[in-house]
Amino acid sequence: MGILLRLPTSEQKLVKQCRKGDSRAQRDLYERFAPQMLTVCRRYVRTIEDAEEVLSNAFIKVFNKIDQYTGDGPLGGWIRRIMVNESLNFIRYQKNLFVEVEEENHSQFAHENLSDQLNADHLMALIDELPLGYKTVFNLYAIEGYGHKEIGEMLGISENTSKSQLSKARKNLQKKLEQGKLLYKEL
Amino acid sequence: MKKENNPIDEVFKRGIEGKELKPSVAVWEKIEEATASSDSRKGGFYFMRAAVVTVLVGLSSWMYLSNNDIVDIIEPETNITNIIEANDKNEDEPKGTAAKKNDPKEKKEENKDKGNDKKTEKKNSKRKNITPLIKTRVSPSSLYVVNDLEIADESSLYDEEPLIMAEDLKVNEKSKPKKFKLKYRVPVTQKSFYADKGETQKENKPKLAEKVFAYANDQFTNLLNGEPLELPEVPETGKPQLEINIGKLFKNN
Repeated sequence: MGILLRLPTSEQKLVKQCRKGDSRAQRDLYERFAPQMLTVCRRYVRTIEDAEEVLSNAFIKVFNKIDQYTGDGPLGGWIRRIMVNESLNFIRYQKNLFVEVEEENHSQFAHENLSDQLNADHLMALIDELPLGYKTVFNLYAIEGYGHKEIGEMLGISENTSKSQLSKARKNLQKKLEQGKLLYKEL
Repeated sequence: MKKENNPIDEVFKRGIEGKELKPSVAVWEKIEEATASSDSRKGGFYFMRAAVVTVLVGLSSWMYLSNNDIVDIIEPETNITNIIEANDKNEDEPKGTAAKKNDPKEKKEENKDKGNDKKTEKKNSKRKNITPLIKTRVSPSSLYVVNDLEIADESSLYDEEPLIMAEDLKVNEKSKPKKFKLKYRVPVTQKSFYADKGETQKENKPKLAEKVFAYANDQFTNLLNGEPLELPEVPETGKPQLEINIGKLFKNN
């Protein structure tokens, strides 16, 4: 089976082809952005399965709305925004289905290994364990970089609520990080 | 600076940055399926346009054909002989409502069928020797009448007498009526007064029309009252005069 060598396509070319409905270009776009976008989605929802569902829905929107991408800002940023919106939609949808219990989520990620302390998985696990409200606000503010006003609009909460949720999230995370260090020191 | 860089935020942001998770194959399959169904632009471009054209052609030809019975297009003239033959039998089958058209406009074969009028048939049967040139059309499917052209003269629909066009009647050049000049006097009566206000009889000589009207008005009043009519007197002169004998009309005398 021969592997066809293809020169890396510039983003502009990719977008142009996607607009025409070129399925090869769509595939390329997906493969280029899907892995990091899955991480984005994973931070907002509880399980990897849910994250994949969000990812697929979001990419469908990406291809449907590709005409709306003006080239103003990087393509990755535009796609990421769609991912975040779709994640929030998913959370809202889940909320409507059953009563949300604000409990600490016991993460699926293992974080016992010392060297893992500050690595990505560990950090993601810590975020994962946060209650939904703290988690969402922290993700939007600290990782995505939205302001409190924007967060308020996106979540339908006040700026003050956003601020308080953020500070609680930070305290929680800090505590856990320090606990990890303590664990290390004791060993 | 918008926001201060909180150390916790930084730790997490930098730590997670660049982290990738591999999506399962099912994800792409789902995306592909959804976008393929909505994205058949290239093939669809000409297909849709061709479909639209076909539909339009089909629609217009259907409409044309439904408006024109194919029978109408072929030999309407033969139907007139049918009418004449039918009259002899003196049928009593009115074929739909009468909407006879002798419109010269209807040279086009676009109209729907009309029925035979009972009265036309009866008249035709009485005067067997005379076959009036009345154009009617009998078509096989005479169960309904639809009129989708505007009739110039709508009152013709309600006429009991069939319309006979002048061109159908052969007018003889020789038989034109002679023209006569009539002179007559209308008696001036006292009962009626003339239309113009503020004018007396003496000031202005009344016009003929006014005189006639006043005379007629008076006689009508007489008629209603049962009084004898005042007929106009014709002075005797040497010139030949035309006598209009209206006395017979009013048999009061």
